[in-house]
Amino acid sequence: MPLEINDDITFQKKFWHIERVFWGILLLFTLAALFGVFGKGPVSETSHRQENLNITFNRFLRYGNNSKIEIILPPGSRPVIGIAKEFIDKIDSVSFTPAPERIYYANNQIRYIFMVDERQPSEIVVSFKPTARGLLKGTIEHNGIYINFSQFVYP
Amino acid sequence: MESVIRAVSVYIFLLILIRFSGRRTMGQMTSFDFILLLIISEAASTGLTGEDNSITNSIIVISTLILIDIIFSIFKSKWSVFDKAIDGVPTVLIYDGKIQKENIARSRTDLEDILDTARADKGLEKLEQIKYAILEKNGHISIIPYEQNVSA
Repeated sequence: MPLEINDDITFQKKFWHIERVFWGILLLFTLAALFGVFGKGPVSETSHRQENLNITFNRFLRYGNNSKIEIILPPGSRPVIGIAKEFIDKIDSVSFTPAPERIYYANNQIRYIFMVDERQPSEIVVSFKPTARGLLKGTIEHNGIYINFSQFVYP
Repeated sequence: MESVIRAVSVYIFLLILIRFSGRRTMGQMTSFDFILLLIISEAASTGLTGEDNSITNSIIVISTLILIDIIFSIFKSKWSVFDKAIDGVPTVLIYDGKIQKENIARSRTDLEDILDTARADKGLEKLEQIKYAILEKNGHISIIPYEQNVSA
């Protein structure tokens, strides 16, 4: 009596082939994640420089997850930075290290004044959590120098 | 990057932990084993996600775990040493009717476990009816009874 089984080896072989392709995609996806395509990592981290102003940030962020922008101010300049309001509106839990001495609003920017030793380069770290998904564009200004940057926030 | 590293670390840690805790504990679960498993899974989930509750993180963690599992299954099918190290080997508990005391003790089973499975799976009544009892890789005990001469 033949085996009563509803098999289909042709279909199965095709499926095995698709399965191998899927494994390849999964491997590429995980490697991309490892290198920071979906968050922090070497691919994500980047620096922008405009004259003496330097900022370091991650291109790829995750929704509601901590991120930071490091701003290096050149020596001999007034330690004031302006961050575009449209950027501030799309982030939450913003904190600065060192903490700003004064904060005010001017020219569609939130401006922060810091008490730092102006004879040396100062590092200002802005920590925040993005509260909007998708493209996040921002501008940082210092002494009339503007740096535009964009980040992508994954859901 | 962090999500992948976290997933790989937790996977390897759990693999080592479960492997060395002995297959009996996970293979045939008692109600306490079940509770233990729930607590472990709860603790592991914290380690896997950290403070990152984004959908992206969940997708990466799940994908990484599945990928390691696939890679390990390929390694297991290629190298028997790897297969033995990860999944273990079957252990004979009763061989041709003879009780293998050392194997039973070392694998933390007892005759009651063997009889339990013999009753449940084969409807056997006595130990003498069992020809072979094998503790399988998955923790299940297989029972092979002596052939019975059924006279009409």
